[in-house]
Amino acid sequence: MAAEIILQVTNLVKDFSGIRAVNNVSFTLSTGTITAVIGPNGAGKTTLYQLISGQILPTSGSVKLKGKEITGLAPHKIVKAGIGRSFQITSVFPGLTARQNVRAALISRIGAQFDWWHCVESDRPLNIAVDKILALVGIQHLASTAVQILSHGDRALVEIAIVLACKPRLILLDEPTAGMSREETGNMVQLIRHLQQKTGCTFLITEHDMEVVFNLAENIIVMCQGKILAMGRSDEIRTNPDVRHAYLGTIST
Amino acid sequence: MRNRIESIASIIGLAILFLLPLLFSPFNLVLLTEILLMGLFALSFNLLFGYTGLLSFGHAAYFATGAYVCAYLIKISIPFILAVPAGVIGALVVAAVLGYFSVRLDEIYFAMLTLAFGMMVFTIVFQWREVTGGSDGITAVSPTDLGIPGLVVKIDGFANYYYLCLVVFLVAAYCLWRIVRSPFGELLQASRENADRLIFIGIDLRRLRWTAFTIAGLFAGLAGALWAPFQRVANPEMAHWTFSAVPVLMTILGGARSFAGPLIGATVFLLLEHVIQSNQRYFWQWLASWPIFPPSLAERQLDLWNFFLGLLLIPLIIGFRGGLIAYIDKTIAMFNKQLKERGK
Ligand SMILES: Nc1ncnc2c1ncn2[C@@H]1O[C@H](COP(=O)(O)OP(=O)(O)OP(=O)(O)O)[C@@H](O)[C@H]1O
Ligand SMILES: [Mg+2]
Repeated sequence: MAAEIILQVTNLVKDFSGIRAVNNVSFTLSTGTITAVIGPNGAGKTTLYQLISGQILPTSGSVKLKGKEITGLAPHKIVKAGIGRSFQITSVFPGLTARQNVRAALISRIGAQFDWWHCVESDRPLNIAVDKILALVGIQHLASTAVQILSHGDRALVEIAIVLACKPRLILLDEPTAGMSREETGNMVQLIRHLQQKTGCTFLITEHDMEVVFNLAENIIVMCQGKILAMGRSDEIRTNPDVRHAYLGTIST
Repeated sequence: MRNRIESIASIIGLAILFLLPLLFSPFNLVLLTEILLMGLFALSFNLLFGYTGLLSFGHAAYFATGAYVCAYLIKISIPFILAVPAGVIGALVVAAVLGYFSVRLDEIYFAMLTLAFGMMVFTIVFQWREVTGGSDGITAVSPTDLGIPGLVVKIDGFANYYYLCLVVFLVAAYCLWRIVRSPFGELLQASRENADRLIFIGIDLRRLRWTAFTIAGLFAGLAGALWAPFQRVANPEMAHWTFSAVPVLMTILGGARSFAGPLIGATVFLLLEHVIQSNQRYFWQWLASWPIFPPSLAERQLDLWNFFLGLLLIPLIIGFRGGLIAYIDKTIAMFNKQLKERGK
């Protein structure tokens, strides 16, 4: 089975005044896989996400989604092209309910953003679709709760639901288990695997928790100081002596 | 239950609004018309402020555009029924142009830019004497008839003009009500909550805000276009930045987080203004009767209205951000709870 390539990153470079946060990064992702990007603090993982999602412009290099150049596109267009992302610091619409959070994303998805006449509350198909997404993530019981009073773990789930509502083909998650309890982390791992099977989406995940990484990811990209140190199948990386030395040194496998 | 109470209350409210001219003196009708038009102005402002999270400090510019275009056209004998929509379109165009640049900025910079644009509009209105009449404005704007060919609909007289404004107000408020509950309105609220996030659900933030800005300008223009014939004048005061502060204060007073908040704010604002300004001389007389009070101060009979407005706003701003409507909501909730308990 020849895996189709969904994302192709070529020679991506990003300079901030003085530092090269992303240094000549190239990789590809195959459709339907889960890939983890690991690396110490400041390795450039979040910057890489910002480049792929169009939040910032690269100094040089290119990003292609399904063969189509998306470098330099406005971020909202990249979302429409099929890339959804979460943020390292959970980013939701705090004053709105969980349902409204997801509904906003779905409104965008179905292109109803300039419909100023129909009542969202009484739009049954729309609300059924919203409830489905909430159920998929397992937070249907929180639908009418204002997101700002939810726990951090639940808020992270709302953000995942928002991302799903955009119906992306590629999902970038930036430390989805950061700040979570052991139990919440376990649930998140299960959820991501479940979502991957259910939606067939491709996932790119940054993560500091190695247990999570080895649990989830087929492929791993190791970054350090903006460069790719190593990449490959999860079991290869686990036993790669360079990586073990540079990054996994303290982890027993 | 709550829905039923609300719809009954609104039907009664509407009936009262339509019957008021039978009960009230002309002077009170003037006050009511003022409340309707300023209420609409404040509602349009709150589409940006309460719903989109953008504080426009130049909203008078669009109100004034509506007023001036309408007044100018009436002066050159264009029928009222065309002059008002033309005023609205004028406001829409000005809001679309100035909004295009304003929405490029955020927060305080947005507020400052709208303020700057507002001052520019004021200057144009003030200086372009040939068209705008300079500091006097366009005066003696007094249409007598709607101007539909073959149909006589009188709009002179306080009651007639009140009915006209009431109908327009109801239609406009209904449209705004639909807008804030629409998919578009939901995205506006989402952008208020987290504009950065909105981009990453695939929304062109600037375009969304620009649209909201233009719609808000349109409704402000409608209020202005009806305001000029009502006041019989379009003058630079209506474009002044202090006039932009009026819907801001009304909205904060009434509550920005609720659709009806700005309306309640406008009502309380204008009623209080009226009550205080027509009674303050008694206050000064009473003060003058105190031996320790300097008579020279009491004799001057300074305007107390702004002083009281400030006094009223301070606790609302410091302690109760929800505005007056939040008090009302709380009372209704308490009332409902008691009803339920009694029902058990
Ligand atoms: N906007 C910016 N301006 C200047 N430097 C920046 C900016 N954003 C990131 N950097 C720098 O770029 C480098 C990479 O940062 P990045 O946030 O991508 O790391 P990361 O791998 O996500 O780290 P962490 O694991 O802590 O999230 C860091 O040295 C950071 O200080
Ligand atoms: Mg990071």
